[in-house]
Amino acid sequence: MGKQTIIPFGPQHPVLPEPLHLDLVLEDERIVDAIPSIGYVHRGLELLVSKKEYAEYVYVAERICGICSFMHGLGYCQAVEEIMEIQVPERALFLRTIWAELSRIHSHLMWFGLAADAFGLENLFMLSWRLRESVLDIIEETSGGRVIFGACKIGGVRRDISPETLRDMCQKLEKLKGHMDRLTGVFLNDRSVGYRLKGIGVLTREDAQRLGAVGPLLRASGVDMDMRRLGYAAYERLSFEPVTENDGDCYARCAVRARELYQSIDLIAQAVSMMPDGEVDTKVLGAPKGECFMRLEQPRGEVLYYVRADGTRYIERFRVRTPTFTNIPSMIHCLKGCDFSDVPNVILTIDPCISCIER
Amino acid sequence: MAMEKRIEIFILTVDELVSRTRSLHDEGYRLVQICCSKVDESGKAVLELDYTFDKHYNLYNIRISIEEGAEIPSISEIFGSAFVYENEIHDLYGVSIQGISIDYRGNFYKTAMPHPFTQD
Amino acid sequence: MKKFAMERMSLNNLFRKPSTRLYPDAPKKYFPNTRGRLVFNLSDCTFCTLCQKKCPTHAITVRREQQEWELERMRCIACGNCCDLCRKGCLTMKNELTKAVILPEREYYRREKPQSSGEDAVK
Repeated sequence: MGKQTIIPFGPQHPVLPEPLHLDLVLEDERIVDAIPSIGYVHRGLELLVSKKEYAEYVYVAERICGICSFMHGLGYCQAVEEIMEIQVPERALFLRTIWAELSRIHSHLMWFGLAADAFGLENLFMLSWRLRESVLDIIEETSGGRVIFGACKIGGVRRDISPETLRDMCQKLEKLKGHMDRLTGVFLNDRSVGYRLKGIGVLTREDAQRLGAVGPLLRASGVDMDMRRLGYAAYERLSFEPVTENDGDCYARCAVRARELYQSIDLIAQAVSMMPDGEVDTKVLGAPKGECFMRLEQPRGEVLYYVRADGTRYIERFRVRTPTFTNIPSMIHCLKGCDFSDVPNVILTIDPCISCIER
Repeated sequence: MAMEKRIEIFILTVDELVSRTRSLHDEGYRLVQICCSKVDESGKAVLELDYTFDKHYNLYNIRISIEEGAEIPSISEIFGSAFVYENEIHDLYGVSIQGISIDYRGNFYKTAMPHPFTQD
Repeated sequence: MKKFAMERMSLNNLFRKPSTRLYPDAPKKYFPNTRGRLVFNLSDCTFCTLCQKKCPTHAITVRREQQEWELERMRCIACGNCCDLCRKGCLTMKNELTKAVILPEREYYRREKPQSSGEDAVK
């Protein structure tokens, strides 16, 4: 056993735009342990729920995290609708599905950029963020915000998308597919990318299940689990198969996300073709009373919302269990035994979203 | 919206927690989360801990009620992923949990004050 | 494993037009739906204080006695909740962003006489 050194990683680090602190315990160049600590940007949004009216809290929930903002709004709305037993109009469900998939595409494209940046390929970073920009334009055109959608509300959605815009959107996404071929082609076929990703940070199927991994991290280890199977929003009417890979290394996680990009575009096309006409929102009266768990599939994995309301206009308790928080044990497991130079890679392929951890 | 319409919550005592968790683990359940919430029960602050498990997309919930500052046993020996939640609950609510497999001893969350979520 | 996947892409990029805009000369095009900034129209306002009550960030202050309406621009998150709720339709979203400012500014509207639509904006 060599001499142990502790190297602090973060809270300010070039590969991580968000503050996560890790104390890496090294023996020579090899990580033997990683000790995380969080709380640098904790905002207490879970406690804020008792200070805002339940209908206004949607805007706060959307701001839990910038990347999956729509998902947080959606999860909160669904939980409250579930308690109040509100029947959301069909068209609103399909619109929600489309926006949810758009935010998955933009999140994954952003992740590709950050991952490329982490292993030192600025060029790829630029390419994927350029593609992401076109998705952001679609989001802005349909919802009004580039990152914070502000489109979901309790009882439906706040705006409708016209049929022409929907058609345009599908054409744009079809065109985007061609560009994405180039991007994912480089990620999955290039030799130097392969050197940085293959066989690094392996998480076996058993470990992934034992450590409670969720999302692309779990699917890259060969476990077929996707919360969209629960059939929330319009997913029960769309046909899709969760993307899985078997290797469980950084490369497999890349491949899962690459294939999910195409899957999301396909789901949007399906949703547009099945889109019913009609209202997009219902009137909400009264106040929620009861409690409920609601689960969704975010770009990063399964998220769970717990809402407990006592019949007043203020909700008593709101909890978000975000996918990154659940993936911390797997991240620590993957880090053990890898080289110091691979740390950014391993952390990035988990796709950490620190804002999500720090509600 | 046919999902999770009915949530069943099984209310247990602290002593039953570990044995029930172990039997759930043996049945193939997966730990989804542990949630702590502070509730007012006839003027007395009580902490409710909800343990959520999942198997084939079905949730199974366990709830235990404890007083503030009470001690509870850890389930991180059974479910490896429980230690993050238990450290979180310890840091934010001040519940002392015995025998966490990876115990950060209050250093997981950097908080300006101890146990911020128990303050009013 | 394909060789030179990345090199080919880099070479392509050498001969392509730049993807970026020369920003101040070529400004960003906004979409009709963009939630840019909140615009207030004083003439129809009845000072009902609904926007103040429903603002998630408490950016709006309405004083009914003084007939004053005030917006703290830096607190406004452009969610558009007040626009949806305003019964008189005097709050709208313009699809342009605000200009960058150095100090947080308050926008302040006051109706001088109850009938006239005179307004003075003091910053």
